[in-house]
Amino acid sequence: MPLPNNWIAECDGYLLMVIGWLLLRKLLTNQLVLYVHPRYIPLLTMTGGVLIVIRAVRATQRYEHTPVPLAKRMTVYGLLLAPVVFGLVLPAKPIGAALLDASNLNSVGRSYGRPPRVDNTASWTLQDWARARLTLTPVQANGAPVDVIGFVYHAPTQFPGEFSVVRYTLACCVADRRGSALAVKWAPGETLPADQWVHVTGKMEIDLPDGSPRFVVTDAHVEPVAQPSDPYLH
Amino acid sequence: MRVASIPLSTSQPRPRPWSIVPGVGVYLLIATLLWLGSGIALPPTLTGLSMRVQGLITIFLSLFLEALPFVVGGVLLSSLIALFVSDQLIQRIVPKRPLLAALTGTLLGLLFPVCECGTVPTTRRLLQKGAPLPFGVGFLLAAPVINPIVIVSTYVAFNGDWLIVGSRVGLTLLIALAVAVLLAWLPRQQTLLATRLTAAGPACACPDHAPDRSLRGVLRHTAEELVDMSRWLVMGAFLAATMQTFIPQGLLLRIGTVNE
Repeated sequence: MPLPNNWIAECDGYLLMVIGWLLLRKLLTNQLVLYVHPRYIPLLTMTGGVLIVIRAVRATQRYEHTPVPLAKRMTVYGLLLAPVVFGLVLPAKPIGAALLDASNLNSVGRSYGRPPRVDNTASWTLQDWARARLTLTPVQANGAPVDVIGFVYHAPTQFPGEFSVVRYTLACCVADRRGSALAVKWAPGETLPADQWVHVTGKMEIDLPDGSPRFVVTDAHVEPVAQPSDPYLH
Repeated sequence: MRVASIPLSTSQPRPRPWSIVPGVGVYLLIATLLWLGSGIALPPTLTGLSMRVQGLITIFLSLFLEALPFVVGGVLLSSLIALFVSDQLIQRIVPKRPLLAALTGTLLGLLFPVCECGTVPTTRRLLQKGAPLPFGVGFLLAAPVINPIVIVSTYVAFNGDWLIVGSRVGLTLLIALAVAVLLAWLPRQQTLLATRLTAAGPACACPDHAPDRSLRGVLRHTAEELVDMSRWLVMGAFLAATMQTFIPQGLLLRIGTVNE
């Protein structure tokens, strides 16, 4: 069999196939949710399939004429290899405490979704609690049961004997994440490592350290848990 | 005033010795990020940086993955235009007068469900086919915001608030139209669009080759343009991820936030 003379077709095809394979591998290992909102998964699955079909077609063109020298494509190939190499070589991890901006926590803004039911706060997520800050009165919040899962974050301005439990909310992908957090009064929490996933139960208390209300979980029971299969809220 | 279509060169300039520098730089950057992201054999002083690089890579991959389906869709549409719509047809049906061309391009966005990533290859192809610049720019700016899918999703996301939907569509049309008309008055439009950005990529430009309009031909065209377009996606995603990693998110959000 003669060697191919259209190296562009060969390299383009293999590169697109590997990107397609990356998408399908992330899908099969349930890792796509670490990067994008689950509604993108069908689109990404289709895209992975299309890229593999393109490779099959390009394979039939390996002996056709090409006017472009392969050397001119090396930068482009390097750029396209970046997502493949990062996606396949490095273990997939959700965004954690390292990129958390404490000044932007709980900035959920005006919400157009249906507000959570006040009489069932034990089913609220950290995102619900962040939204509730805008509407909940201290009388409604004080003593309300809390039952949330998130990762540990030690804010620079954290009160002694406390830590924060945080979870990100995604609209489309990790780039638009917003962190929702609750302070937890639990002295041993200071020694918990950042990014450790925990299940926190307790009661809500409205604190007024500087005159403005602060939501704090008291009577807390904290239990380390495994990272959820989808670490983000939507 | 009539706007001339933009002639685009497909000639291949001779490679210069220093042209390998960006390529080598890309591979070195990948290797460095891999080392930092893996955390292998890192001095303790770089542990914090390593955590940030891991975050950078996650954000980069998320942006790349989210946009890729739309780039593939846009490139597929561009390939169909390239193979099935002749230059003559585009030049005949697209108005030449700047205001009319800008208006038509802008309103065309109402019909095409393409996002930001998809409009770029589509616009590029339309310009290569001889569409005037105001037409292309109007389409480029308006289509991602005023297409039917975005209108419906805006309506749903804002609980049927027609004021939001109307403002979004109306203001986008206005801005796209204004920019497109402004660009029409530029004296040298050829210099505005760099040849290397608008050239058809590695596709064979031999005049004796008739376009292959089979599925095989469409996919071949798609592959060539996809590789060419994806480099911009990679660079854009990397730039955005770097900014998000090293500039506090709150600062970026506050730039575009109005206090309620």
